[in-house]
Amino acid sequence: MKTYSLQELNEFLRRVIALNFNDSVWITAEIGQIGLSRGHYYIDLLQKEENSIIAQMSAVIWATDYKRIQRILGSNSVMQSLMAQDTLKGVLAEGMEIKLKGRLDFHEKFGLKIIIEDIDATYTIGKLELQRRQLINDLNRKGLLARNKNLRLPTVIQRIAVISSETAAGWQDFKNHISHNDYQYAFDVQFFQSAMQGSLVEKTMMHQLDSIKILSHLFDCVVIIRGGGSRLDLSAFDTPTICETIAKFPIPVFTGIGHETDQSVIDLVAHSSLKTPTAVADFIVAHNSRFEASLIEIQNFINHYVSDRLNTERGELQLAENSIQSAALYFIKNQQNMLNYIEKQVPQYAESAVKFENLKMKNFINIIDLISIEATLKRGFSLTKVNNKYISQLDEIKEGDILETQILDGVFKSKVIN
Amino acid sequence: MSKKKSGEFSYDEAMRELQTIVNSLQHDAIKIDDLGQNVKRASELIKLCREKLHQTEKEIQNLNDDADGSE
Repeated sequence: MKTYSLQELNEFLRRVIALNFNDSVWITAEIGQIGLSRGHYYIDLLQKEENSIIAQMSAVIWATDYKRIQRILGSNSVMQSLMAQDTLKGVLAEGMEIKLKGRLDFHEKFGLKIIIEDIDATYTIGKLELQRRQLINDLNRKGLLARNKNLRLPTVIQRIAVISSETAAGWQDFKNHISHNDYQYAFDVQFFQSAMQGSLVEKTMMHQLDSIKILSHLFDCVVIIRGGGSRLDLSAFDTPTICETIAKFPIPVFTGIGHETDQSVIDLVAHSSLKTPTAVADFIVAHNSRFEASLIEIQNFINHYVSDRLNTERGELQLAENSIQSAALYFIKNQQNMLNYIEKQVPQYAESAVKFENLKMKNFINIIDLISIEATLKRGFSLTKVNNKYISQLDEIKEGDILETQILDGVFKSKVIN
Repeated sequence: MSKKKSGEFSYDEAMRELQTIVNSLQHDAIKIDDLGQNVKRASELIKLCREKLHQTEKEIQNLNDDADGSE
C-alpha cells in the first residue's frame, strides 16, 4: 500500500472536492458562532437534532461578498418593509437558521470551509416566523398569553425595575421622560443591565429577570426597554424561556422595545406593550394621573357632601334653637301662671286660717260666758258660803251655822235650824 | 342640671318650699303663730321666683338675638 504525505493527501482531497463541487450549492444550517475579523465574517455552521449537534462546518463571508449581499438585501423593498434596519446583520446572529449559497473550498493548510456567496434572508425570516407561531401556540396552550395581563396594576406605579442596555437610546429616552413628567410625579427607577441584542440576550435577560423576581415585592412593575432595531434583532427576545418567565412574572411587565410593525412574542405575553420607551413612560404617568384624578373627584365629592351636610345640620340646629326658645318661654309662662295662682292662694288660705281661729275664739268666749257665775246667778242659781268658804255638800254645815247666800243682786244671811 | 353653690338661689328649691307652704295652708297644718311668717316667706319666694323667670326669659331672648345677629 502506498504511503502519502499529509500534503499529498490534502492536495488529493482538494482536487476531489473541486471536481465534485464545482458549482455552488444551497445549504440550510444554524449559526453556532460568528466572529468578525477585518470585515470578514467567520461562522461555525451546525445542525442540531434534539439539542445535540449532528453536523458542523466552518464558513466564511469575505468582506467584499458581505457588502455585496448587504447591498442586494438593502435594495429589496419587501425586505426593507420587514426589517427596520440592516437585514444581513439581523440574519447573521448566533442561533439563527440560515439558507446560504456557498462554495466548498478545501485548502491544504486551512482545511474545509464553505465560502458563502449569498444568503436567502426570507428563509431565516420564515423560520423565525414559524418558530414565533410555534411559541405563541405553546404559550396559548399553557394558558400563558394573558397571565401577566391579568395581573392588577398597582393603584400607583412608582417603583420601576428597568431592564435595558446602559447604552440604549431608548433607556435614556425613558429615563428623561419619566423623571421630567408633566405632573412632577416622583419615581424610583432601578436599572438592570442586560444585552438587548445578540447571543447574550437570553442569558443576561434571564439573569436580571431572576434577580428582579426575588425582589419583586420592592417593585410595582418591570419595564423592558430597547431603542429601535430590526425585527430580526427582536427575535432574540422570543425564546420560550424568556416569554414564559415574563408571562409568569409576579408583577406586571411592560415592554417598549421600539418597533412599529409586528409585535414580538414578549409583547404578547407582557402586561402592556407600548411602541416606544417614551410611550411606556407616558403610559405609567397617565396611569398615576388617573389615580390622582380619582382622588380629586373624591375630594370634590367630600367637599360637596360636607357642605350639604353642614347646611342640613345648620337648618336643623336653627329649628331646634327656635323650638327650644319657644318651649323655654312657654315653660316660664307656665311657671309665672303658677306663681300668680300661688300668690292669690296664699293670702286666701292665710285669711281663712285667721277667720277659722277667730271663730274658734268666739266659741270659747260663748262657752266661757255660758259658764260664768253671773250667768249662773241670772238663771236663778245661788252661791252659799260658811265661814267665807263656798259649800256644795250637807256635811260641810251644822246646826246654828250662819250661811251667806249670794244671789244676782245681793247677799243675804240665814241660820241653820236643822 | 348645673349644680348650685350653697347659698345661691335655686328656683326648684324655692318652688318646692312654696308648694310646701301652700299644702300646709290647705291642710291647716300651720300654727297661727307661724302663719304671718309663712305668708311673708311665701311672698318673698314668689318675688324671687318671678325675678328668676324674668331674668331667664331675658337671657333666652338675648341668646336668640345674638344668634340672629351673628348670621
